[in-house]
Amino acid sequence: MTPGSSVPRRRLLRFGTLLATLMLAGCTTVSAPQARPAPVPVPVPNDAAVLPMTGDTIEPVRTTQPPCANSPGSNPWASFRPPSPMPTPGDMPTGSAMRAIQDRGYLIVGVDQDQFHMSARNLSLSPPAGEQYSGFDVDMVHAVAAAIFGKDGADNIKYMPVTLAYRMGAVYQGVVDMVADSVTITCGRWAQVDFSVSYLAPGQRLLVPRSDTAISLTLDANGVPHVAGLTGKKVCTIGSSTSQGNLGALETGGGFRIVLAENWSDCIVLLQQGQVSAISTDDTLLHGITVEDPYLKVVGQRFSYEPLGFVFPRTDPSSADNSQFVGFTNGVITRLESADRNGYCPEAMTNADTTCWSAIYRTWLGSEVPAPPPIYYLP
Amino acid sequence: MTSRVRAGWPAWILILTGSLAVVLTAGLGATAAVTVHDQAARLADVTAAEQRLAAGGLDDDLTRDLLRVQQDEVALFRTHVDSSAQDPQLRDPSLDLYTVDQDLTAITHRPGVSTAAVSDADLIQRELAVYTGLEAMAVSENRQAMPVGAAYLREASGYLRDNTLDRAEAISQEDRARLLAQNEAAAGYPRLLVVVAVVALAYLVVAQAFLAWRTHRVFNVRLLTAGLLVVLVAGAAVTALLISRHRAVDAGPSAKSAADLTAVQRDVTRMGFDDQLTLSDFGEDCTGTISPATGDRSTIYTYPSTCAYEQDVLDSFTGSGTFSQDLETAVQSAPDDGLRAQLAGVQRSAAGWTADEMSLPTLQNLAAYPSTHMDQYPRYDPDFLSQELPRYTSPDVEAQAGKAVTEDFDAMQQVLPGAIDREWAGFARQTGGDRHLLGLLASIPVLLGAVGVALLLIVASFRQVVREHFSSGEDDR
Repeated sequence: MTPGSSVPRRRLLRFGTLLATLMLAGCTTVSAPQARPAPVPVPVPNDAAVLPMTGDTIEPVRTTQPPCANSPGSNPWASFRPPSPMPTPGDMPTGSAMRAIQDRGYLIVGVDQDQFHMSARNLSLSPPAGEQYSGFDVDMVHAVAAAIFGKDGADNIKYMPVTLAYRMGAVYQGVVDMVADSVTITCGRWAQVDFSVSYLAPGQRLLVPRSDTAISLTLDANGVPHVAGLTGKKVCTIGSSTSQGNLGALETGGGFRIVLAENWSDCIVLLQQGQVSAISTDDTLLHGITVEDPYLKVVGQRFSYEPLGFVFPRTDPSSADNSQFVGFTNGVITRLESADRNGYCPEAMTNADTTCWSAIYRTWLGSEVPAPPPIYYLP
Repeated sequence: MTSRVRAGWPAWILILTGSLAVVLTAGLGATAAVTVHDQAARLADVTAAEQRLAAGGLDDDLTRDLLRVQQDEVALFRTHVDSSAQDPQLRDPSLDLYTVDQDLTAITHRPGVSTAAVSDADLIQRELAVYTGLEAMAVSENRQAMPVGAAYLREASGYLRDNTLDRAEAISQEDRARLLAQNEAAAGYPRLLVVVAVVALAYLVVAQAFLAWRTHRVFNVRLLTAGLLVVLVAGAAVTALLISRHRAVDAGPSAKSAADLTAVQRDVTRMGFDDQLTLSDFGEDCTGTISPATGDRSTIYTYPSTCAYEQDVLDSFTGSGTFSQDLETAVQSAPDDGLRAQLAGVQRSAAGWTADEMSLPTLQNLAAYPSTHMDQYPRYDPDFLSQELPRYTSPDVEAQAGKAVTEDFDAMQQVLPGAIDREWAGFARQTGGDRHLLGLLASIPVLLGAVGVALLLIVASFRQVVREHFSSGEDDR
């Protein structure tokens, strides 16, 4: 071998080795580099979303209504007059709407599942018949059932859970005999359904964490509400409720945005998780929420007047405008609000309770019992 | 050998000719080794992915175990409120979470895991912390009989469904896509190897002719032997690769079928999950509208209601729905009549499931009922009272309705996982699995050895000629 001949051979060898190494390296599996942590998505209950600004104007709180073309009388808070005398429980007049229900054997009532202390599912194992739901609204329904079937009438109720979005539909479509779900009587809703007289008249307020001291709502001398401490924050309420409209009018002045949830429990979750700063609706519902979560409190003055009524289908084979059954229920409400202590009362009455209505109120909504709302009958 | 070198050619041409022969032969060896190695790597990847994707594989385990977490959380929740939900077989959800954690660890430690899969697995781990926090709130509130517990359950379920399960599916999807891509690549022709082999051989023929002309020897035995070895190397490599390609081509339909069946299985799992959510949240996932929004007492109103989870299931079953489309694809890619018959059974179960879906006590179904009965009052309609109403007002009847869709789900579960397993097994059989892989890998050193011998022979043959060149007194001009 000549001294010079080994050089090209070594180079060839090196070149070949390099080529083979590079080509083999190209198909060698390489471990993936450590991934950069991605942010964890924030849970949102039932796709609750921030609403666009409504731009509604603020109006003073009113306890009267302008004449309504949809209701049978011009006053939308007036309803059908009760029969006189009221039929005896368990013996409804033949051919009446109540008789049809008595013969059927049960009253079908649409109720809410999560309005704690107003209408909520009884979350216990095997609740007794008639007690699958509980709350102020449900007690009122017990009284109606007792007036039809007799003392144990609550056992003859079939509860149909409905959402706020479908409660008017359930009545209009006639799949229930009535709905008891803290429904505010409005002229617009009379176009779809019938209402009883008002059995409770809460007002809309704000619910905030107990630690919050900044959020407040006051009415000025003209009764116009002014909200403070909510600038840049979010307030949760529910669609298909009058609360949304009332809150929308405060949105621009208060500098907050409305988050619309599907039900009140979703609003509680949003508030507990800090995704909203407040919840706003009737103070009776807010009271129930404070029982669920004692770290929340109701603040500010009432900035609306919400007379609540039972809701009925407009039509019935037994009477025009379903006036028989609606009038009958109005008679039950009237009796509950009277000093008559002889009839059936769903709650035990104490000496402090002047009426059965006050006993029901005290049981579910607090010891400071207000006067029941005024009752207006159609002429 | 005697010197018979033809004069008139400088030595560097001789050296260049020899060097080129060495380079081309080495290149052929490298190309053959790399091509075979690549094919083996692809098959190794395919085999590993197949073993993961076959029933009981890692990624499907993750989805299945996540669903089990949810099932046991819902069962735990219902135990406190529903006597019909008392289940002595109830598992502790924390055990399920431990299993999920193991699945995630296995995924992040598997060879060749992608950055995206690692990122997804990491995110799933952190999402589970959020999920379990929500579930703990749900159970705690429910134990205290607070309605807000159901909202936490809904939120947790929605979170798992819309985030975590999608991520688990993405990991699995990535594996399937990778397997199909690798299998498709394995089914390609070894064109580069053939081109390099032809060029190398052609050059060796030219080199042989050149040496014959230069040395007056018709045959250079060493170069001829080297050429023969090159032919053998190229032939053996191409043959091995063509056999491998043939296996990959044959296995392709099974892989496609298994992947398509997995898509159907994913849809069924999703629908089962949706039904479970529908049944556990008491219809609170339903949204509704009034149409028209305003009017007077003469206006006819309608109240369309949509329950998100149930609508998802119904949409899947429509002709353009995900399930229907995926099932159609699976039927088309089914490699045999037996599987097609099984899928026809799945189709029948789907029809039954759709019908049972309409019996679920959801507000969507309730709102739809009166639209066909608007001439009467449903609350006095005997059919409504005897058939529809009990579903909405009696927990026992509600449980029965839920049982019907669960049975539809179970019917599909009796077919799909087994079919997927069989398709993957067929795929593994046709690719030849580990044995074929080992054969390919073992051929690499043999090929390299043969090329090495060829290189030595080429070098030796040119070395001899160069020596003869210098010993004959010729100089490099």
